[in-house]
Amino acid sequence: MLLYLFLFLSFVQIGLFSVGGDASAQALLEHEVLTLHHWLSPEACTDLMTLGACLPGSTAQQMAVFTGYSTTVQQLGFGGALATAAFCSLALALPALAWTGIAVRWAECNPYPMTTRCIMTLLRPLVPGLVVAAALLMAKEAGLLADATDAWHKGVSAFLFLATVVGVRVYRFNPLFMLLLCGVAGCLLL
Amino acid sequence: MRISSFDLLKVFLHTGLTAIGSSYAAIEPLRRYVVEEKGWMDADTFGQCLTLTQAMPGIFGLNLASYVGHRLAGWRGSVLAVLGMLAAPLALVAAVSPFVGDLRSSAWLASFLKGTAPAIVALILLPVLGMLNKETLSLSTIWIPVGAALAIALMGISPTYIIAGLVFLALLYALLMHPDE
Repeated sequence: MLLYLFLFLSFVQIGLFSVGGDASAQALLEHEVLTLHHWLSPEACTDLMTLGACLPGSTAQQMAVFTGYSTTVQQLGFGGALATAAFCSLALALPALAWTGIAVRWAECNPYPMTTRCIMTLLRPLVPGLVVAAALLMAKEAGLLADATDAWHKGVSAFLFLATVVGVRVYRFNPLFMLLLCGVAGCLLL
Repeated sequence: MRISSFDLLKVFLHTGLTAIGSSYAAIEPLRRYVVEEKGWMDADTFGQCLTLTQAMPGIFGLNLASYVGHRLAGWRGSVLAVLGMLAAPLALVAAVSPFVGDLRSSAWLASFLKGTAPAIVALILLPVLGMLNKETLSLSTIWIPVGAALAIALMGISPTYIIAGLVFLALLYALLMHPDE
C-alpha cells in the first residue's frame, strides 16, 4: 500500500515541479525513479526511452506507465499492473488540471491587463522556438547531427526527413502511416 | 455551442495517439482537429492557448490538453481532454512493457527505430512551418524563437530562464513605456 502512496507523490511532484518543459521532467523523473526509489534499473530506463521514441506520449508519461507496470506486475499480474500504470498516469496529469485552474482564474480576475498583454506579446513568438529546440534535441539524441555518424546513415535520415515532410504536408498521408513506412525503410536501408 | 463529451474525447484520443516523440508533437494534430476540422476555436485563440501553456510547469502535452479542454467545455472538457491524452500512451506502453528487456537483442528493432527517428523530428517540426506564416512573427520578434531554439538546443539553457527573461523584459517595457496611456 505504501508503494502506491510513494508512486502517487513522485508523479504528482513531477507534474507540479518540472519547470522548463520535458527535459526537466525527464531529469526529475530519473531522480525519483532511479536514484530515490530504485523502481527501475538504468538499463530498463534507457531501453524504454529508446523504444518510447517512436511511441506516443512524452517520456514522462511513458515512464509513468512503465514504472507503474514494472513495480506491480509480479504481485498483481497484468491487470493489476495496468491499473497501477493508469494510476501513475493520472497522478502525473493531476497537476495539469491545477495549472489550468490557476490560468483560468488569472484570466477572469486579472488586475494587470496591460502588463499581461505585453507579456503575451513577447511570449507568443516563443512557441515555435521551443518546438524547434525539442526537434533539434531529438535529432542530436538520435545521433543525426554528430560527426561520428556515417554518411549513409545521415543521408538516409535526411531522405526520410524530407519524405515525411512532403508526404504529410503535400500528400496528406496519415502521420502514423508515414512513421511506419519510415521504420520499415530503416529496417531495409540501415 | 455545446460540444459533446464523445466528440471531445475522440479528438483528444486521436491527438494523444499521434503525439509521437515529444509533447510538442501534440500541437499539430490538436490544431488540425480543433481549428480546421471541427472549427471549435479560431487560430488566434489556439495560439493564445499555446502561449499560455508553454509557460506552465509540468508536462506540456497534458497542460495543453487540459487548458484547451477547459476553453472548449469547462472542467468537463479539461478532464475528458486529459483522459484522452493519457489513454494512448497508457495502452501502447503497457502493451510493450513486458518486452522492454528483450529490446536490446533485436537488430531489426534498432534499425526500425533508426528509421523512425528522422520521421519523428520531421513531424515535430511540421507545425512550425504553419506558425511562421502568421502575423505573430514580425522582423522585430523573430529573434525570440530563433535565439531560444539555439539557446536550448546548443547551449542547454533551460526554457524556464528564457521565459523568465522574456517576462522580465515585458514587465520592464510595460512599466517604463506605458503603452496604453
